Amino acid sequence: MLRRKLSELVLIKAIVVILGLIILVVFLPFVWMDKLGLAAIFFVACAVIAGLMDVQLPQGGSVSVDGAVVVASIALLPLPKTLLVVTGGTLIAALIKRSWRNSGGIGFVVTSKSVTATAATAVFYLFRGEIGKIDPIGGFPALFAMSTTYFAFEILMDELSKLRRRVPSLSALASSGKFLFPLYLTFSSLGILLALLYGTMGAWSALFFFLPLVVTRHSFKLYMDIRKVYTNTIKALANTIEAQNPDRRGHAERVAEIATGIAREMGLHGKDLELVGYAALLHDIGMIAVDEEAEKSGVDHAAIGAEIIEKVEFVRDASEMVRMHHASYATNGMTFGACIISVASRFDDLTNDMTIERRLNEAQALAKIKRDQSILYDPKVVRALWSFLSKRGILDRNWRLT
Amino acid sequence: MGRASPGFQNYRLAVALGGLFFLAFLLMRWGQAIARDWPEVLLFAFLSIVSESLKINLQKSAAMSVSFLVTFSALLLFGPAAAALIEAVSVFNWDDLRLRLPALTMGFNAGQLAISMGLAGIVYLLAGGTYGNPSHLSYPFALLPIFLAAATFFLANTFFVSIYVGIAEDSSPLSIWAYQYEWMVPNHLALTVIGVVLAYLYSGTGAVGISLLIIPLLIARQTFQVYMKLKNAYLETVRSLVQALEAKDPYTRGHSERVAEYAEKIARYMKFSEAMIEMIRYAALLHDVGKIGVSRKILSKPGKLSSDEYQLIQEHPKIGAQIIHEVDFLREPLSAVLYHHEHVDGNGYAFGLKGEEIPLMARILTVADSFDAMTSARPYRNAMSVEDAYHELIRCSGSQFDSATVQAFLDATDYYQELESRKGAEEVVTEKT
Ligand SMILES: [Fe+2]
Ligand SMILES: [Fe+2]
Ligand SMILES: [Fe+2]
Ligand SMILES: [Fe+2]
Repeated sequence: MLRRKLSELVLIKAIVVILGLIILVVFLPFVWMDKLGLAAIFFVACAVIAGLMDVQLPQGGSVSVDGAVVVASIALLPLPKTLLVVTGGTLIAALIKRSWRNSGGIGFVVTSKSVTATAATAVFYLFRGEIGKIDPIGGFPALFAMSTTYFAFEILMDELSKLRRRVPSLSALASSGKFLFPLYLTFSSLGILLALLYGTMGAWSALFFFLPLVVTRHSFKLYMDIRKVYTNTIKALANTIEAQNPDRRGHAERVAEIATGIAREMGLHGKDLELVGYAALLHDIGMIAVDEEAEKSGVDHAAIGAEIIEKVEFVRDASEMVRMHHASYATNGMTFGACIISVASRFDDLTNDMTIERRLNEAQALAKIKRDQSILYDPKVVRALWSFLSKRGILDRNWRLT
Repeated sequence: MGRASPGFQNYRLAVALGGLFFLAFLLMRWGQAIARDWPEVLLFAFLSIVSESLKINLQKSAAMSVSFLVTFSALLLFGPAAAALIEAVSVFNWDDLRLRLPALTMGFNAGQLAISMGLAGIVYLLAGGTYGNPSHLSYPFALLPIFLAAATFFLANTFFVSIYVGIAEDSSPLSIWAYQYEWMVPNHLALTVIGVVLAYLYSGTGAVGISLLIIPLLIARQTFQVYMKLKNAYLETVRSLVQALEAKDPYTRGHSERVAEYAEKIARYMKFSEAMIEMIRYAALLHDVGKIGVSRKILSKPGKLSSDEYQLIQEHPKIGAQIIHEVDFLREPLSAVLYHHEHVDGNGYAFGLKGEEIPLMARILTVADSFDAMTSARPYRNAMSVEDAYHELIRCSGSQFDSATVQAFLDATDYYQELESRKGAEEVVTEKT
């Protein structure tokens, strides 16, 4: 099944690349056919600057800002020039950044952007937009439809280049679209604004285009950075347990990795996925107050951990997962979130046992967990663990090293 | 001084009245534009109130709004009188009305905004700027008056507000300015440019044009607000996490919180900037994070520690620094955590640093930490009285503790007051010299 999906993705990517190449070969020769040369150079320069302003996302990947420039250029310039803006902007920016292999190869980026720009131009014509004549009121539907098409295509292409193993699911697309929607709305507004201002102001319009863009990007980046600070802080404080008990070094972070892997397999994304990560990092935090002797006499580190987490607003919603992370599948109130933590923690205990003789490899550990499923664990979660491990190609010994 | 003092009242009243007179002058001199274009002025006043209602509250009393760009474009379109008037009416925004600010504060706000914007308008005209039709402005020559005007507004506005906060909170207006406004300069610059674009767009394309600009700004504002909320909640998050973690050990419960309190007092007394005080708070909250857990097993054990156990305890500054070193935001507190058990004579742990080698933040932490440790109970001893703890600090000042820091601690806390009330004034004088 996995193999089939893989080839499906390769096929889609190949189609995009070939389509992009055809478009470029057919249209680029017409670049010199009219007298908007100066405008094209101006837009290429804008695209390069915007291309250097990528915003890195915490979940990996980045959002490129140059879409706003391309939207303006679609509205103002004929298609060959727009394609010049797309290819020139992308290539020069990549050259400056030296990031050839970052997002699925520069070839895919250039061709997929060409396809995107061509599709948006087609939609612009379809809505009777007139290139070079910007009428902010009457021409609005065409401008709006064009920029929407552009960014919808961009999200799709970006997902294609990000996921190397899977064709993106519709829900993942919708989720990242929803997350990025405000940013793309900003880009379309500013793109149309640039097109509007360039006609009357010439190159000075760049000043009025980039400043709002920088403001938006800056606040977005601040937001991303502070999120990272939170995650790192929680990770750091989860390490207090390890400072106490060196035997458990790395447990929290490994469990977080496995648990988010399982959760992603089960279709969680966005906030829920993040919450599973926090719960996993903090799941054994109650051990700070309970040592082995106390645990034997019935003090429960899961309950104490949940109590600690409840006091911290930022992670409060993870407390139920922590409270139940040693409960069995049939227990009242057991959620599959808690079960994910439970399975992930058990898996790490088995594969990283302190006594090396007792340590199991991944396949053995999975088999052992599978034996207990439906009594201790939700079979769906165990299945998700299996597919997470096999997709990583780590169902063999030493998978951590590869 | 402070909030209740007559100086505070007088200041607000003076600014409010000054603003009123200044506004009257502006209206007499440049009021014709308002009479001519009043429906549009009304629209801009409305926009200004709306955007002021959407302002983002920063720490303390500073707030950032995009209303400046609306009034600034009004300056370019209708001149200084209209701009000052629009700026003044923005105090009737939803956010302030909801908080039921006292009338005098509203008056102060209206006054300082009118003065700032009026001054900006006059500077704009003096520098050769014109108003009416922004599309007639020739770039880049029109930029000079525009930026001079924007700088005037920013300086005047933050000048009035810093003094206000300075009087209300009894601290230096300059340090308030540096902490709260310095970083806003680029922000303000951006708003200025956007204000110009807004005026330009309005004269060229009307309402549709300005909405193209307002949409991105509202989105940026929304994102920034979420960011500020998270940033302000960060201290709370760290505090509650540390509290929750140490609460499980009766001998450390509340320790970090109290150390943070003492350290903040010392830092404030030593006139640290607000930004540094924030960092000291983090350092204090996290200083024993390497000991949480370890302490319960070993420290709660009555009787002498074995040398192994003692060594483990001595590792805790290193472990603590290890724990927080992943968090970029906590770079500065890190060294204070690492060195909080060093003594100025070199006999401390974990590195045996001496005197000035120990960062000041760490020396402050040592005093605050030891004072709280002495005044709270340990399994092997009872709590020392507050008085004895003060004397212990004085006794070890210069050997264990940095003497300047101890002096600051004595001055910053109510030590002398306490002595005064107990022993009479004479002894205090001898003690102090
Ligand atoms: Fe556990
Ligand atoms: Fe665990
Ligand atoms: Fe300590
Ligand atoms: Fe301490």
